Amino acid sequence: MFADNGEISGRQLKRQMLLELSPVLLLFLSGNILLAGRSGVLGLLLGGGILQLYLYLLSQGFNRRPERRSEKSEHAQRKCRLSWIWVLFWESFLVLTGAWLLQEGVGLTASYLLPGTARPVIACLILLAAAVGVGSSPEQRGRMAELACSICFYGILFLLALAALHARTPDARQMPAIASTEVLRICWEFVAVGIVITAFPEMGITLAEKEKKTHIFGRVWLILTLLLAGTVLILYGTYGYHGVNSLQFPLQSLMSGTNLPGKFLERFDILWMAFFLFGILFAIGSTVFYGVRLTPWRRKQAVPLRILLSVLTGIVWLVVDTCSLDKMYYINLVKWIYAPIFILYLLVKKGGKNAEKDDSSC
Amino acid sequence: MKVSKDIRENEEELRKRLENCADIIVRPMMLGRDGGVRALVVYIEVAVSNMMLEDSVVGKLVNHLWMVPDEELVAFVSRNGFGISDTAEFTELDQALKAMLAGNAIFFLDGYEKAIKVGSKGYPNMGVTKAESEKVLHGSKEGFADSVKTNTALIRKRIRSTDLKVEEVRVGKRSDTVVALVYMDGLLYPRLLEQLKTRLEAYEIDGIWDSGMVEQLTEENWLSPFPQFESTERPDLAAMEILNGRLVLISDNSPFALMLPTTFGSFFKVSEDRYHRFLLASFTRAVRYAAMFLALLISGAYLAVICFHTQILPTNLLLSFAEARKGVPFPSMLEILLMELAFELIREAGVRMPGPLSGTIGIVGGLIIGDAAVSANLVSPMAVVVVALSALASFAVPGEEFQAAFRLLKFGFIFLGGLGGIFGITLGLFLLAGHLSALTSFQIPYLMPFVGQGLSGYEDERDSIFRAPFRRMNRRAVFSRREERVRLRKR
Repeated sequence: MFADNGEISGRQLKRQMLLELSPVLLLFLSGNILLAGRSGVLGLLLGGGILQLYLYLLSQGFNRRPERRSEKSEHAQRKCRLSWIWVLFWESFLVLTGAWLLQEGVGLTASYLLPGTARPVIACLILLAAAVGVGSSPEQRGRMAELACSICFYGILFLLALAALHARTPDARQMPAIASTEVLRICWEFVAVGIVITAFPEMGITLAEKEKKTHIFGRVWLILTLLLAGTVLILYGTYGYHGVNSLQFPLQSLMSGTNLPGKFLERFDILWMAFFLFGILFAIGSTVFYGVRLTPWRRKQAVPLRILLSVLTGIVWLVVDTCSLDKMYYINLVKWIYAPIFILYLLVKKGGKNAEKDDSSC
Repeated sequence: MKVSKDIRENEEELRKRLENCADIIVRPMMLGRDGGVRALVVYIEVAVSNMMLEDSVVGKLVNHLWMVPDEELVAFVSRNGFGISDTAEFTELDQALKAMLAGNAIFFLDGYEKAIKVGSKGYPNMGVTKAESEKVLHGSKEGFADSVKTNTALIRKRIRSTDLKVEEVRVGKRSDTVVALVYMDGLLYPRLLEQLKTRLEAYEIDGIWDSGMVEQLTEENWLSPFPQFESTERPDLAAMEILNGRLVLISDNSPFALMLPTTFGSFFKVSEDRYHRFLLASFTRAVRYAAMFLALLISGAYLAVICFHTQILPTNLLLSFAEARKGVPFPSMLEILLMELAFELIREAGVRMPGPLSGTIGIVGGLIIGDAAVSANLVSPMAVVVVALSALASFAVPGEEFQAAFRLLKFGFIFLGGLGGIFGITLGLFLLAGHLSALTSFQIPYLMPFVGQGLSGYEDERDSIFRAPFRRMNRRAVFSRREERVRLRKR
C-alpha cells in the first residue's frame, strides 16, 4: 500500500514544474523575447540547448539522496554556519520570487478579472489561497499538480492551438537583424531562470522511481522552450512584429481574440486567465512550500513558518507595488546575483565532492 | 459470576439482573421422564418461538428432554445428545446473558455447571428487500437487510469461497452491536484490517445503531465534506468490491454496508456499470462526472458571468438574460440563494413526507412554487433553470453522502462566484484541489486513479472515467495486494 514517505513519482514532478512554470514564463518572458525579434527566438532556443547541457552535466553528479547525519567535526560545524547563510540566501530568493509572482497575479486579476477591487485585497486573497491550498507534504503537492496539470496546462495548449489557427507565417523582414548581444542576453536570461528554478525540487524531494530528476527537468525545459518559442511565433504570425510591439499586453490580446469555432462564447480570455491564475497560485504556494522545507524546524513549526513566509512575501510585494517597480527588477536580480552565486556554489560543491563527507546537513 | 450447579443460585442471580425486564422471560420447568429435574429457560419473548410448537428447535428440545430418564438427563445434555447444531455452552453467566440478548434461548439445568445456548429465530427484522437508495435497471434488485447475519449470508451467496472471511467485533458498551468485517483473504492488505480494528477500539461509546455512526468514529478526516467510506445497500456491489481487495463493514441493525478503502473515483461506479457493455457504461459514467461539475459549479459560474464577466456571452444571450431579469427586485446572488434554499426545503420535505404524499411535493415544488415565483417576478426564469440543472446534476451523482459534499460546496462557490467572479471560483477550485489532494483513505490517495500512477507498482485498472471492454479489464483496483492484481486471464 501507499505510505506518506515523502516520495513522489517522476510524472508528478514533471507536472508540478509544468503547472508552475508555464503560466509564468508565458506571461513574462514572452514579452521580453518578443521585443528582440529573431534574436529573441534564437536566444531562447540557444538557452534551451544550454539548459539541456547543464542538466546533463548535473545528472552526472547530483542525483544522490541526502546524506545521513553523523558526528559533527570542526569542519562540519563550519559547514553548518555556511549552510545557514545558504538557507537565508535561498529564503530571500523564494520571498522575492513569491512577491514577483504575486505582482503578476494581482496585475492579471486587477486588469481582467476584478477591475475596481483594491490591489492589497486581491494580494491577500491570492497569498492566503496559495499558502493554504498547496499543502505541507510533497505527496499532496505532487497529486495536486498531477490532477491540475491535465486541465490547466493542456487547456493552455489547446487555446494556443486555437490561436494558431488564426496565425500566418511570421514575416522576418519586419524584424530587426539578428544581433549577437541580444541573442546572448535572452539566452542568459532563460538559462539563469532555468538554473535557479531547477534547483528547488532537489531540496528534499525524493522520487519513488529510479529515474533521475535531471532527466525529468530536461524534458520539462524542452517542453517549456518549445512552448515559449511556439507562442512567440504565433504572436508574430497573428500581429506581426510591429503589431506585437505596439501592444501593451500581447499575450492577453491574443487570448481575447481566440474563439471556439461556432462562436459558442464571445470571448475566451477569461478561461485563459483562470488557467494562468491557477498556475500562479501553485507557483506562489511552491515558494512558501520550499521556504518551509529549507528550514530545520519544518516538522514542528510548519504552520508558523508558512505564515511568516507569506507575510514576508506580502510585505515585499507591498513595497514593490507601492514603489511601482518594473518587473525587470526580479529578472535582473536572478541574472546578476542569484544565478551566478548558484553556479559558483555548484562548482565549489562539485569540486569538494571528494572531500570528507562527514556532515552535509545541519 | 460462574454458572452454578445449583439452579436456585442461578435463578436468584438471573432474577436480580433481569428485574423489571418485562420482555425477558425466566421460565422454570421440570424436565426428565419423571419430571424431577429442575431447569430454567431464559429468553426474549418475541425473539424465541413458542417452545411448545413441535417444529421449533426449542420446542423439540424441551419435548425430547421430557423423555430422557431423570438420572441420565445431565449426562445426555453434556454430550449434546439432542444433536442440535446451533448450540454453545457457557461457564460464565455474563456470556450466557450476552447470548440471550443476541436473541437466543438459554437453558440452565440443575446439576450442570454450564448454560446452554440454543439458536432461535432471533429478533424481528425487515428481511431482504429492494435496495431503495441504489436503483439500477440491470442486475439484482436485492438490498441488505437489518440483520448482520442475513447480510453476511447475502454476500456469501455470491462469493462461495472459504477465503471469504467474516470477522465479528462488538462495538457499543451498552448496545453490544455486532459489526462484521468481511474480506477476501489473500486480496486484502492485512495492515488495513489491523488499522480498522484499532480504530474501532479507539472509542468507547454507549451504542451503535447504524453503520453511519461507525463511519464517523473511524474516518480519518472528519472535517472533510467528502466521505472516506463508501456505503452501499447492494450485496452485489459489496461482493464485487470485496473481490477488488476492499473490506466491507456490516453493522447489525443497519441496511448500509461500508466499503473501504475508498477513492474519489469509486463513488462514480455503480454495480450495473459492469453489467452493461462498455460503450454505454463509459457514456453513463462520463455523464456522472459531468453532473458532478455541473452540480458544483453551474450556479457559481452563472453568477460570475452575469455579475462580472458579461463580455464572454454572445450579445443575443446577454440581452435575453437582461430581459429575463427585468423587474426582479433581488440581486442575482440572493435570487440564486433563495432558489437553492427553496429547493433544499422541497428535497427535505420530500424525504419526511409520508409515502403517498411525497409525490405531491414534486408537483408543488416544481410547478407551483417555481412557476408562481417567476410569474410574480420574484426570480428570473434563468435562475430557475440554473438551480433546476444544479439539482438534477446533484441527483445524478451516485451516493447520498457523496452527493451531499457537492450540495454543500455549491453554496461556497455561489458566494465565491457572486463576490469574486472567475477569480473567486478559481481560488475555490484551487483550495478544493488542495484539499482533495491531501485526503487519503487508509494511506491510499483519495484521488486515485487520477493521481499516483507510477507509485507502488500501480497499473491502471482501465475503469476510471471510461470503462474498458470487459475482456480488457484484467486488473484489480489499487486496493488489492500487489501480487494479486490480475483478475482475468484467458485460458
